[in-house]
Amino acid sequence: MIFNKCINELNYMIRSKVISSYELVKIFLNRIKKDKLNIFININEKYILKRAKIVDKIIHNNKNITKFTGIPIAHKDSIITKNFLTTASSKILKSFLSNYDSNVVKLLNNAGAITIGKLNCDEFSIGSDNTSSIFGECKNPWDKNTTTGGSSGGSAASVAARLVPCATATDTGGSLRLPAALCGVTGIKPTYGIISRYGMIPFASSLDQIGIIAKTAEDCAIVLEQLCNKNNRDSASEKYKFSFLSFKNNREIRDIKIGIVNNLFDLVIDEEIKNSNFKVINFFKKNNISLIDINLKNIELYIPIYYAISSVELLSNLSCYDGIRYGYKNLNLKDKNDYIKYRNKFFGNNVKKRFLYAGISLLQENNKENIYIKALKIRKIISDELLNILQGPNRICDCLICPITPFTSWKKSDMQNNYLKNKIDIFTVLSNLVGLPSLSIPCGFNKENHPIGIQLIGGKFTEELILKLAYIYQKNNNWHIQYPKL
Amino acid sequence: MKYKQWHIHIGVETHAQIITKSKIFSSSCSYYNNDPNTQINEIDLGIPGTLPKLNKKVINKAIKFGLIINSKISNKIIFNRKNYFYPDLPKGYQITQFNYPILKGGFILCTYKINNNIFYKKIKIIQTHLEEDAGKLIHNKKFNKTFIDYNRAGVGLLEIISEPCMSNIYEVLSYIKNLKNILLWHNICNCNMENGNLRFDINISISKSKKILGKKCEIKNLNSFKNIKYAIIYEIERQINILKFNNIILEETRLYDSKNKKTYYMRNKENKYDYLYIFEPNLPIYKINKNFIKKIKKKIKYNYQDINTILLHKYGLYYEVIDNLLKYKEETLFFIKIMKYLKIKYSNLIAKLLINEIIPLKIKYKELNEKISILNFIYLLKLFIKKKISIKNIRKIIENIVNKNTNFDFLVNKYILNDNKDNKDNLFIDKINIIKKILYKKNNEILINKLKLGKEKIINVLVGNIIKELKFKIKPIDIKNIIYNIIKL
Repeated sequence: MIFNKCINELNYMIRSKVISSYELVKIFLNRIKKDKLNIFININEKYILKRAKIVDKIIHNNKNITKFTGIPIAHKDSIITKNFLTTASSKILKSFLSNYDSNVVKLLNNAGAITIGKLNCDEFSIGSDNTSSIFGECKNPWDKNTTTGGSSGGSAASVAARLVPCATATDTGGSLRLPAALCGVTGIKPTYGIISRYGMIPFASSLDQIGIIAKTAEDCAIVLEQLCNKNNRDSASEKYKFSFLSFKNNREIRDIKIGIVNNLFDLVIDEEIKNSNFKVINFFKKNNISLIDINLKNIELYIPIYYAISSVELLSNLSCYDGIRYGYKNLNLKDKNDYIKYRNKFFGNNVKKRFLYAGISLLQENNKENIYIKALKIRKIISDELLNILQGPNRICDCLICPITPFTSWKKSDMQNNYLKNKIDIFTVLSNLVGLPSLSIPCGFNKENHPIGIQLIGGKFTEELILKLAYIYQKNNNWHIQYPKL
Repeated sequence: MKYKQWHIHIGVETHAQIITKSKIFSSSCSYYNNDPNTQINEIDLGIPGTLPKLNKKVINKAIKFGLIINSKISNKIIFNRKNYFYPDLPKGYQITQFNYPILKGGFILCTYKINNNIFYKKIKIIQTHLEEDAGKLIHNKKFNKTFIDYNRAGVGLLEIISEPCMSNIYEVLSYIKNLKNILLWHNICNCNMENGNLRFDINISISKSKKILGKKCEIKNLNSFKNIKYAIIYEIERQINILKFNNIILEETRLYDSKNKKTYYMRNKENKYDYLYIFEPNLPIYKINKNFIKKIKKKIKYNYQDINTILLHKYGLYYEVIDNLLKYKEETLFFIKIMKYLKIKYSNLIAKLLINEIIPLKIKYKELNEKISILNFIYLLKLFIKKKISIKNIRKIIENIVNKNTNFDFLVNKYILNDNKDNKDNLFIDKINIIKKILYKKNNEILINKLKLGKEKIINVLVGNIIKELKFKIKPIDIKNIIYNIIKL
């Protein structure tokens, strides 16, 4: 089936004119129209078909053709697009149309991609189950009664349901890897700074990173190559060229050590997840890759410092939504108090909760340090510990393998338990705190046919390594090929 | 203004807009006196998803300033966010430096005169840091609306905070004057106070001891020297009147009403607003290495503060003369250049001439520097010192050169000759001395003897010999009379 083909194949078909870009896009659009899972929140058929015709002209002229020409892609709604509204699933940006394209959208359009539309997500990328969106919750294509995970629920679901071959997403504390795992697709959050954040509506600026969700590691690699450009507009961007050619030609792994993070595996509740994950570990053992046991220090601090830092940065990042330039026009607001009450109506509970966390983290008694400052110091310690393990000539291993979730996709009602809700980030926030590249790969299903995922975390700038490991795994297993019926 | 039992503590906070082509964190143009909202881009407006990018030229200017006022220059540049709500603040926060200002310490040399006494004081600076400016609110009473112009949002600012060590208006005005000169001279700020290039906030507190400060009030939006002067006078009186009756001063922010010359309450400062300072996560920590500072130091050819000191101590210029001269950077440098050729005892004379005559001429005739060389100027000044040429004639010479391109030497000769009214006697004595010297040369002695013996026609030969050796023109009859006077016939 065409909609199940890899990016490589699709690109080849278009370049060799087996199928036109227009026809390809129409096939996906037909599937999207049948979608009842609330995955897409914004599509513009006229624009899409117009764009497809432009791409077909490019192919006809045989100029500027890339590995990505004609490939449809969709973007999480917190990534800014000039031709579609960008709402971050929030009331305050409900009618926001930007005058500029984000860096990732620009690069992909230049490479000949066709933006299909915007994907559902949690409000301002806060949340683990895509239920805080003003467009309503996004449902898991594998089980409509359960969540997709969040915050990039729409991105993961769109690829899982084969509505697009790939999608962009963002990851601040696991927002990309968690839904990728719960939807049975492959997702990568690259090293902090490799992909420009210019044009991404920020949640926590020092933790945010744009990433890619696709069916396979190879597909992720193709998109990653397009997006790895040093962009001067993002001062945190790092010079790093990821070469797909290098990845493609050299897919062997030699002398690699993978660290098994035992104290994280101990936190997994679901036995089926543990079993699936250990099977992956055994696979690598059989393929002569050495494995070593590791216990990370201070894991009980990951969640508190993540909440402190991310909430504080969120509070500041949302200060621009002052009710004067965003919200409704022509309201009779008289003074500051009116603006405060009015602004209050435009944010959901998740956002407001984080504002409260931020307030607590910033409380300062006399000359003592507040929680925010303490969190920054602890973050440095954790960062140093992990960089010592993963980088440098004295490193202990080249990458880590660990779980992504303690349990598989759940019903909305199940998540009322706050304890579980908060703990769910523990496997993923580590990569954001240190800025490490992390990859989520599907590795099985439980008896309810919910997907199970596993995570690879590399040292900085080791995207090629972790994608290679995933590629080898995916060559010998079929989990990633399966997709649910629409 | 003497307040015997009260000690006055005044500190000045200055915001100076830094001269760079673009704003501090975006590439839009930083000169903003144009139509509203025409010098903005998405970063200035704080549109979601935009990121700041540091304009490094701003760092150069800050370091230059630090070198001139002797600050300690930080080896790292770290930015913070100051979070608060105000309609002219597009992002809802200002990018500034809170924990690690780029410059710490430093001083500005100030002099001031009270009656006939001159005082010198080194006003110390606590710190100087970088930040971005906000937009401008334009209140329209007719439509009962306020408009926001974002042209100014994002322009780079240097905030300079002095120690509260000034104790009278004269120190404050001198500090402001010298700070303004430093920023102007070294091309750091355009210092146009009406346009808001340079803004001052004054903090005043009064206490009974010199070392302990009282509760301070801040006066904002003072945009002229005059306003600053009267605002401080009023505020000191106001605070003393409160303290006299053992009442407490409430910490406030006040504004100045220039019509009534009074300060008035704006908002309360007692409950300090929490600005929720955090580190700016979108900007990395920039490092400044010593070589970079050295490069900037090399480019500084002169230091305003050193020159201020030199004018006082080396050239012994009077207070008012220094004050006036320092307003003109080019002329001050010109003064120092020419003084290398002239005696220091004439420095005040020359400086005054520069200020009163030469500067207005240079302003009137902008090509002056190209048409008259420094050496020619020095020659004119030497003549002036020796009283061989009047101010009026110097003016005439300059005007002739600029307007008619007449030859310099010709003009000098002409105007020394036609000097009938001024310094007539001195000039004449000089002429006589010159003629005397020529007369008593060997070849003329024989002729003098012949003349003494009665040969009257010899006088013509003598006159002829003298004229040959004279550099200035003089009538033959005058020469005859001089000769007769010298040899006493």
